[in-house]
Amino acid sequence: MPSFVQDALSECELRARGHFEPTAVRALLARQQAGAGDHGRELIGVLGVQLWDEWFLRGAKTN
Amino acid sequence: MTDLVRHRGPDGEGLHLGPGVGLGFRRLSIIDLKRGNQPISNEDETVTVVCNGEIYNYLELRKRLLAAGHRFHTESDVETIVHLYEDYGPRCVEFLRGMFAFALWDSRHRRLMLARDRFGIKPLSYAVTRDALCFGSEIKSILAGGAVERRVQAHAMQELFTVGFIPAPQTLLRGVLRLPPAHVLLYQARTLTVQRYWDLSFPAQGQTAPRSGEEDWAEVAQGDRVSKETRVGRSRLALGPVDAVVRAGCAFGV
Repeated sequence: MPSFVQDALSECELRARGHFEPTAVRALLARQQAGAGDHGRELIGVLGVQLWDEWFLRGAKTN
Repeated sequence: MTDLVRHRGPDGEGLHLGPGVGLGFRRLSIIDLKRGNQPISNEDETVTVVCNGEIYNYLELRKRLLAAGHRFHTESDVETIVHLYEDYGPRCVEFLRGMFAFALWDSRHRRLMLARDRFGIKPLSYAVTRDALCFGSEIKSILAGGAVERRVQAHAMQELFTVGFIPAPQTLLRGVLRLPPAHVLLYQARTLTVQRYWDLSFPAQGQTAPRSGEEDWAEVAQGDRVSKETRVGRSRLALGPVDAVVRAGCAFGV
């Protein structure tokens, strides 16, 4: 998993952005990585929102 | 605000600042490279427009408007919009064929008009605050204006995860809306109205005769003629964002 994805989906970042429940997202990620389920669509959605927040909501792209 | 969309229009920048209004624009030059910069105004500079896109039938419209006594000072397709507005008001948009999103300021009536093409090819978002209406091709321009609070729209987030996108006019930001395709927005005396100006029509079965092959071909040929008219040098306007002029602006205290 690329480092920027790890960062965006880390418990710390999830908590900092405040859009998602970190425990639930981390559980989805663990299941995905273990091959126990296909949660790609949900995780890509979470990743998209996390990056959107970082870049456009509070980030340098709009400042 | 316009600096944030420089990537959409690296060839030029234009501003119109007046009592109660500010229009910003970034340009990628295609038609009338020397004089086609925006904003563009009418003869007495009471109507000013910034437009992202291309008016395909502008030569035909220009001919009609010249015959009606209008004077053009550029070769730009966008100039047709201000003269059409002088004659038809907000209904001017019904005469336009093309891909466009524009903002027009009518200083006599202190009215801002936003319009988007029939299929919504060109983007246009806006936000209404306590004393202003801000708009832009991209939401980040609106945020850069500083008048809009950055708060996530929870309902839109649900839509994103349920259907995979956010249906217009909502966006992921509370208070920021997209102007739907084929709609006109009017903002005057702090009153906002949004109206549809066109819709697909589906004649009832049996009401129209089947089209002949010749009719289909005539329409294709017409489209090709329009495309050739709007060609400049080796650029084909119908093939991508080669004409991506960009505007972002704010109408304060209208």
